[in-house]
Amino acid sequence: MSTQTAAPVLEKSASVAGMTLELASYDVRDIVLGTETALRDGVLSIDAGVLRAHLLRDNEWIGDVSVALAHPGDSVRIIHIVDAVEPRTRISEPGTDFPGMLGVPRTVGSGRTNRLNGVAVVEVAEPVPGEPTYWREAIADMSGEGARYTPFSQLHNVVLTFTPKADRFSKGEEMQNIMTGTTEAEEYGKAVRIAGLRAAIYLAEATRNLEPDRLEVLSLDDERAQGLPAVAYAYQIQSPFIYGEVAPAGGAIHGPGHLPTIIHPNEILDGALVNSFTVIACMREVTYAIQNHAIVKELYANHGKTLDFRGVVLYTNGDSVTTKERISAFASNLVVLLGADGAILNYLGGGHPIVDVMMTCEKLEKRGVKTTLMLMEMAVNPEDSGHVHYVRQADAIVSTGNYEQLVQLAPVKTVLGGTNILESGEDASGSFSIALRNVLASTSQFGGGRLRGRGF
Amino acid sequence: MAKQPELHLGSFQVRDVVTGSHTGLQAGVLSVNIAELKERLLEDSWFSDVDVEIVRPGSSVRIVHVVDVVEPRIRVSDPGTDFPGMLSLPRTVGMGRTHRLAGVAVTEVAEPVPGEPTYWREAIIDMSGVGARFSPFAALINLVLSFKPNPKRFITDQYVNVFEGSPEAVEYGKAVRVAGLKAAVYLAEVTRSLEPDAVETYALGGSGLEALPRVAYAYQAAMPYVYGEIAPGGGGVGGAGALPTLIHPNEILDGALVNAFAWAGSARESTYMLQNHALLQELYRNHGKSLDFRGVVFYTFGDNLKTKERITSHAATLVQLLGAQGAILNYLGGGHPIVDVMMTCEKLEKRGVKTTLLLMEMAQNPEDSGHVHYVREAGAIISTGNYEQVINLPPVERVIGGSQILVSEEAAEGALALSLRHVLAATDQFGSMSLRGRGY
Repeated sequence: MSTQTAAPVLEKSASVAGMTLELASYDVRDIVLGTETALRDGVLSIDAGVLRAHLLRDNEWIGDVSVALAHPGDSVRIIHIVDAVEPRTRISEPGTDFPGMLGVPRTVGSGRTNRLNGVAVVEVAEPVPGEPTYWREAIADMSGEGARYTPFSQLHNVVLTFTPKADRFSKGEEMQNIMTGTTEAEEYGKAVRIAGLRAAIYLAEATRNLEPDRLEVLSLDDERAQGLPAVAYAYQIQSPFIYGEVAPAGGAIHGPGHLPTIIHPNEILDGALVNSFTVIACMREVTYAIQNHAIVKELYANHGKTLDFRGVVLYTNGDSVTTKERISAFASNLVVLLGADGAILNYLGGGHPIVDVMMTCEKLEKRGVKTTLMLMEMAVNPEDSGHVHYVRQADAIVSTGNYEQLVQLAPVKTVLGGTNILESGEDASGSFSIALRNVLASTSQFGGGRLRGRGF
Repeated sequence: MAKQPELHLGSFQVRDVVTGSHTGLQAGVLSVNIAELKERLLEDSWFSDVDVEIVRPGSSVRIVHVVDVVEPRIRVSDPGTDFPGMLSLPRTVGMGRTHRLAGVAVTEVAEPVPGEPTYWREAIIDMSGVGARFSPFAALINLVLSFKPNPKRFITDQYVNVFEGSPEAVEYGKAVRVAGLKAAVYLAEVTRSLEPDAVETYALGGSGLEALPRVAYAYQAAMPYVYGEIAPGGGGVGGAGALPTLIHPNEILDGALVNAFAWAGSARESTYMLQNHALLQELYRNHGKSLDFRGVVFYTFGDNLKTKERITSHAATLVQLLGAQGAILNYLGGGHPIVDVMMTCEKLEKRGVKTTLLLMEMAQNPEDSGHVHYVREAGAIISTGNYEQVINLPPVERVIGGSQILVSEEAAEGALALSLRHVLAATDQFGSMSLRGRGY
């Protein structure tokens, strides 16, 4: 009987036809409010009146929206953040921005997309009746101690503060559980995200006829990658919109019938995935962090130099031993199908998902695929390891930070988004001590955070 | 690098099946201890009884109310992974060694229970005469299991729609299939320490493929159990959030997929047809000779324009990710699914991937094209037969499974004029039907 190892299914010569993304960057050094929306010499001028009217047109849920700016170093605290988006517009056909959310869910990831580098559209909103608030708070300080923890303190933020149409909500609505609010709360949340996407396109449209500062060409087809260690990324998603639909995640949120799949990294970078779930701020899968996915970008940066980036497996988590076994087995099958020597695994946070990460790790190692894990810690004191589950095979772990760590935030002159911190009820403009989990993207699961390890 | 899956499928040719005092295989004759088999199957409280009969090719027998058919198999090198997710934890299959009893089928039959939809449920196998020409199962020795439900387990009889029956009916249907799988494992167990007549090795990749055309298979699934769970299908049945994925062809051949849905007999995705998936077998036969078989994209269908666009776009992207220059698409049958097949075809052709489609026809008369939807790009179509074609079946001496044909309520043993869609696997969507085209 033959025991020879068959060649990988996705051979290095495989042409991934058409999947070449040209990402054109326009550096923005300042943003100002003005009488027109335009980009000149790195200064983005925004006509707030036109933007506001644009967002309020044809919508069922949003009563009003205000536009404010927050710059690095400002004495500003942004609270109640829902999501953040980088301004983008797709220039070439099929020309679909955020497909499935806005328009038909056509495949993206090829052709040219323009981005405003250094800018984020930040959507903030008070929770509506029937919306779960336990994991909802998300703070970005633009200066002081807090600014050290959120990458959004380094960006020029266009802060959109939304208020709902009052007649769409009745007070005291019962929510089904802590994950999903009422139908109305979910619809409003989606409307806020869609408004953020529309604002992002509106702003990036200013680049349409301009020459970019840089052009990155992203493609898995690269002759130089041949013979280098083959690396895949097993991406544990939180339940983003994927081409407009919330992916069926583990049983905890959706149904266990779902199977992992493969997605081209260019689709991830080009707007196919959009945040849908306001889970814990420090690790929230915000749209901006997906568009600038730090693991995908790092793998691309090394593609053809130190490694051969083979692709991305999308998976979530199960809610029972059986569904976890099924999902982690299928995820590891797909990594093997990609012909990987090694795999990088992130962790979406929470109790159930770490088990699926560890089971995938174990299965991959047993099948001869080396793994590196990126894990957030949840340690309330130094005696607590911060990890709820592990396997023996998990011997290469990169910490993305401890979400229980307390940070002391200084008072600020201006608060955008509300007046009181959710749950604690503290005055949002004051000085307070708060767990890192409330600080947006501070322990980003993709590694795009500002925390760094230090040797002692 | 991880070892790519390699499946060694050992075949034991069976020329007869007989009842006996012990279960064993000797000189091509499979002896079955019926009492022991029955005892194993009746451990499940969904059943009050099960009859076991051996039905041979050429006998004047009509099997009606077929639910599913399974080929006897055991996984030898990785014990405890037979039909994973159905009989055990959902561990990955498709590698190592598996034994099969060739020429034998375990055929599960059952009267519909209260709350079970019956519109598409009938499936018939004639073991002789004209009917035998239409069903590939007429050429096999069928070990027929006739299940009787335990009436105490049925409380409600309301079904949700024509797809989904009452919860009890769904559970009972699963119990029938699981019992069939157990019987299949029980029979194949006799081969564990025997040497097979032939061993076939299934693996993708290999050397000498560079110059060959690269071909992928876009498999439109009719809602099977996949590692024990029903795959989220189109919005009609499963939920629109599902995305297509890749599955290794060896997993399909090795028991990862099991029939879950008693869809029209002629197009039913029976477990036997999955285990012996004709398209996969054909692609493997030609792998390294006339083509480079790149793999399988696994998808279903959406329930509206948006979900169809989303599902077919991702299916097409996965075909491209496999590096395919050409793709073969099957069609699970029905109205919604053909739109998704055609949309996938169109997208692939526009992205430079040549397509060939296997389509069942549904033509009630010569003026009817038999196709509810098409695109200009669908330039290479193979018909797997017209499921509306009426055939005349002669009377038979004996009927197993029931006394009347479902819906029409005709006497099952008499002469019947019925449409091909009631004949099991008569228009098999994977191309293993007995029908052939003829030039004029």
